[in-house]
Amino acid sequence: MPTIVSVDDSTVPGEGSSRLLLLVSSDNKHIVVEEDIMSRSRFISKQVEGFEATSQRHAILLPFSSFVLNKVIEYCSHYRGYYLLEDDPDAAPPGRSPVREWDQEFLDVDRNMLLRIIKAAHYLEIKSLVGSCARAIADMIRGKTTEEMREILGVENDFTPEEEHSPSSKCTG
Amino acid sequence: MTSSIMTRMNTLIPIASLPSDVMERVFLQLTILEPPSSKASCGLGWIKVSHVCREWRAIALGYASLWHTVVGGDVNAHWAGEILVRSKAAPVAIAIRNPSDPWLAHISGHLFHTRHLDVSVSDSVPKALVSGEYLASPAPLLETFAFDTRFDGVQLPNLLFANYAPRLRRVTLLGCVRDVPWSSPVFRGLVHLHLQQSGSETPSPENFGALFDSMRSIPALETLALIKCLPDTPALSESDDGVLELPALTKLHLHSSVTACASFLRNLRIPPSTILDLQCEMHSDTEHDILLPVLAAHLTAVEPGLEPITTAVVESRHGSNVAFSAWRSCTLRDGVPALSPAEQPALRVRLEQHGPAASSTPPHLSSAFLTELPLRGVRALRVASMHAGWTADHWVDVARSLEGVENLSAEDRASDALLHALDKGGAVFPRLRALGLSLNMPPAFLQELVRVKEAALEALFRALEERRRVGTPGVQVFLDGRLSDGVAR
Repeated sequence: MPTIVSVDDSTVPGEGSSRLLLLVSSDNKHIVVEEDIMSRSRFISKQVEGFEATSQRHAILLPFSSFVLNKVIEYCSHYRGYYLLEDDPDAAPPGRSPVREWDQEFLDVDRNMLLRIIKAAHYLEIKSLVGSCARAIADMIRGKTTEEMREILGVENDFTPEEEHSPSSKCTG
Repeated sequence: MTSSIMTRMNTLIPIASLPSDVMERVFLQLTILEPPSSKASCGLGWIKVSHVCREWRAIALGYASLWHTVVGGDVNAHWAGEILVRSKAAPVAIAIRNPSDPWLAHISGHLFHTRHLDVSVSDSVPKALVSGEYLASPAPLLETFAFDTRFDGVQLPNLLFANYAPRLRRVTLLGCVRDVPWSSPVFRGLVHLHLQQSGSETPSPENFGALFDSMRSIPALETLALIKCLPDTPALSESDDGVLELPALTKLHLHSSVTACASFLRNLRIPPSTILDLQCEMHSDTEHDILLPVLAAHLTAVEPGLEPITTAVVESRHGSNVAFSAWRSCTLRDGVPALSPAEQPALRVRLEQHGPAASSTPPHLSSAFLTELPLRGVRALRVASMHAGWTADHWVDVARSLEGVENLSAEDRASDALLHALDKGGAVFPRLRALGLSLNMPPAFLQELVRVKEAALEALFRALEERRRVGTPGVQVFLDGRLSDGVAR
């Protein structure tokens, strides 16, 4: 559960056509963003519904840095007003994430940053961004040998010799 | 000991912080990007992730949807069984070539969650395959079924999918179209049906009649391909009116004799916008006479928003074959209708002449397409003929029928004949704005090429002068691909 703190009216600028939200990152940066932009996040939408029930305004504390949060806001701003199938709660989840050119450029970041973004997207329940990041990670290890995958992602081989040859080594021949 | 230390170290790396459902998404993407393959270089494909570490193996083995594709021939029957078990009840796609008995048992046992099934047989045939009993279980998720066998006697069971495959939309049957239980309700929801008879066996009218009648119960059919499975006899249906209505059909592909295709088309009621793609074998000189009226009727039928035919191409280059294509759309390039629209032709007919019909001159057939079909709206026309029989008179007939042509391209012998027709003043295309002439011939004709070119060019310039004199609009001339301002001279 996120920590929610009450904020007074002066913290949040006046209400326009789209209300404003105050997001607080783990490095204690306060970021004001239009609710409309963040509506792609199921997590934020649920929080806002909660605010409406209590007629109180709140800041939403998030467990990731402002750097990561700003990247997510950039993504949401880019797709503001766009329909993305993956984010439609009523649509069947697609198996394959579509390759969007802008996303590829947006996710052209180092490995650790990519992992932080996907974690944040997962936390915020932005399925389209999770899908695009998953696709980027899959692209990273696609066609690689087991050893190369370990090297790329810093994973250690923790199999015992018996486990090493079971079970998928049986699959060919 | 070492193993457990490594496991603990793995919990500290950045990727370990991702929730398992995120890793499932990554692996799911990888199943699409890198499916298992029989090629040694690709091998396991995405399954390699289960060799990286314990955590990844646990995620991979625990997430049923990852095991959605089983490609037979790439994996042995034992492993196929394991994959199918791991997929639990998640929808799977199974593609198998030359299945062994254990494989057929897997198919039978997992039909209940199979979404796509593709079975092809070109080697030995297991007993169970002949009887088709492995396909007799309900297939509630099945959407696509492809079956390809060149072995006689291989059957589909009478109770195909126990008569229960409510999601089945696409069926492709190659080589086994004789004993299909067409009255089965599993075919009623189809949108795509592709049937192909193998070998030289003549389709029986009775069996085809059953298919024809069953298609009345498939109103949603959008694409239909019947390859070498139309009988020549006209009696297609037992029903009174004998007409099959397919209101949703967007594409029809037929490959049979001219008589069979014409007979089938006559008994069909389809939207005028349906794309026709016909490959017809001719066995007599006059057989095309029964096909062209049927095609003409289809092209003249009216539908709101449907354009007339604006582009036509007729080619007779190889042996005694003739190919005709017609498009409704018209793409303008530099203000002139283009000769090769990007999309599929609304009508494509390839006539292959066999036996006595081979003596029928392809130029006669080519000309028949252009003069007997309703093509008055044609603005771009290309004629390519390697046959000396294409004469100036053919062009005169074509010009009379297709007065609206703005862009005309004549290739090989047809270009020579066109120049003579222009020279004689017989072929007047009053709206012509671009003329392409290609005199390409095989090297054996080199000497003739030189002679023809000289005479032809003289004829061309005379014709252009004459057009200018009588005030016909100027024409851009392309000779062998090079632009020449013939009008200015």
